[in-house]
Amino acid sequence: MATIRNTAPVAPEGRQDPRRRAAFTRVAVGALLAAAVLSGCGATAPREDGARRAAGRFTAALAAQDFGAACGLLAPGSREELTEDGKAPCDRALRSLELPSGGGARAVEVHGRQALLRTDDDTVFLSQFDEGWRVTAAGCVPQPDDLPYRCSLKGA
Amino acid sequence: MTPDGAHRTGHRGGFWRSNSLTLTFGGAFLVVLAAQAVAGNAEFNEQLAVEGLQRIGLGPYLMSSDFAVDVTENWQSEFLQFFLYVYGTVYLLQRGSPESKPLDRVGIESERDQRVGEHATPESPRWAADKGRRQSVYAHSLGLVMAGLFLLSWLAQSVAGTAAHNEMRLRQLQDPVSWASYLGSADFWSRSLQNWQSELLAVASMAVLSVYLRQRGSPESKPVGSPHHATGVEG
Repeated sequence: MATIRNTAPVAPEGRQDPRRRAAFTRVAVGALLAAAVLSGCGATAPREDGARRAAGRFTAALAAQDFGAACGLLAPGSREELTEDGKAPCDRALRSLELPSGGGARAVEVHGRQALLRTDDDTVFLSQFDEGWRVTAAGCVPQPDDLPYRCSLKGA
Repeated sequence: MTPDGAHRTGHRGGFWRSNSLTLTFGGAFLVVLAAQAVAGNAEFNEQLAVEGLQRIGLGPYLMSSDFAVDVTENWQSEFLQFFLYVYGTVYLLQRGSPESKPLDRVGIESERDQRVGEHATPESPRWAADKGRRQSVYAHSLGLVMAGLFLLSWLAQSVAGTAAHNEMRLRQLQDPVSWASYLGSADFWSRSLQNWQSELLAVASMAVLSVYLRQRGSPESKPVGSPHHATGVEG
């Protein structure tokens, strides 16, 4: 019968070799990190804060009737759509929509470079640009059967 | 040849020749993955441009859920394919195929045939000579690792897929869904099943085509002159 020479140190029965346990821990942590990276997970808290602040500035500008400032927080596509549909400069077209401007932020969800923020009386969609978060849709009302929100202001 | 008939490897031709299969396919994997990233980035930016949104560079795209789900949905199906192939060929046979064992060797085979326990040779892996749990684990290690990589990749696909799907839903002004809801979604199962069906087709094709067709010099083929009915013969 062949015998195999065992050259590796063996831990006493019932006790795990600390080096093996450390190696296993390293492998497990590495696998979890790899899974997180592969899953496209990134730090969401700073992005949530950024989206929440941008939406807060937008609703604050609406509440102060500073529609010029509110227009500056719109995504380019939404601003273009607004001026084309309203056949007026952005600030006048935005005023005519009479978007809800009250209520604090209740919840924010960020996925990749898109975000949704619910306030007490509105749902606002945002997208991330080089300049920061910009509003893509506002004055949004949920629709049945998982259909897209119907929004007073939205991009193309 | 060693006394038990196996060819020794690594003694001739240097490191490159001895490992050219792994090195070539590993290198090609990295090149193709990079090309996939470039093409995927361009396609993703086309969608963003149509919707009037900010395009992203290659760096941010590499960290995006869109890239991650596209990569992991293919990884999981490949590891699933190899797990099923490794495990399935223990019990399933194909007469005349080099991918199949001889028809009289179905199952896990004897300790003597597998050279485990007291039948292990001095050159056998250390855990093959063990008579307990280690031998049992080692005897299934290839299938277990393939199954583990499949499950890990599929989990990563589900997490990345949830994020990518939700990013698309937000662009379409729809509510995001939870991970649990995504697991029952058409997107998750469409991505999974379209990969699985292609892997299963490839395995079935290989098993049956290798009965009648040959590739001279390839261990995946029978020798060119081998009869069609010869089973478990590699060239």
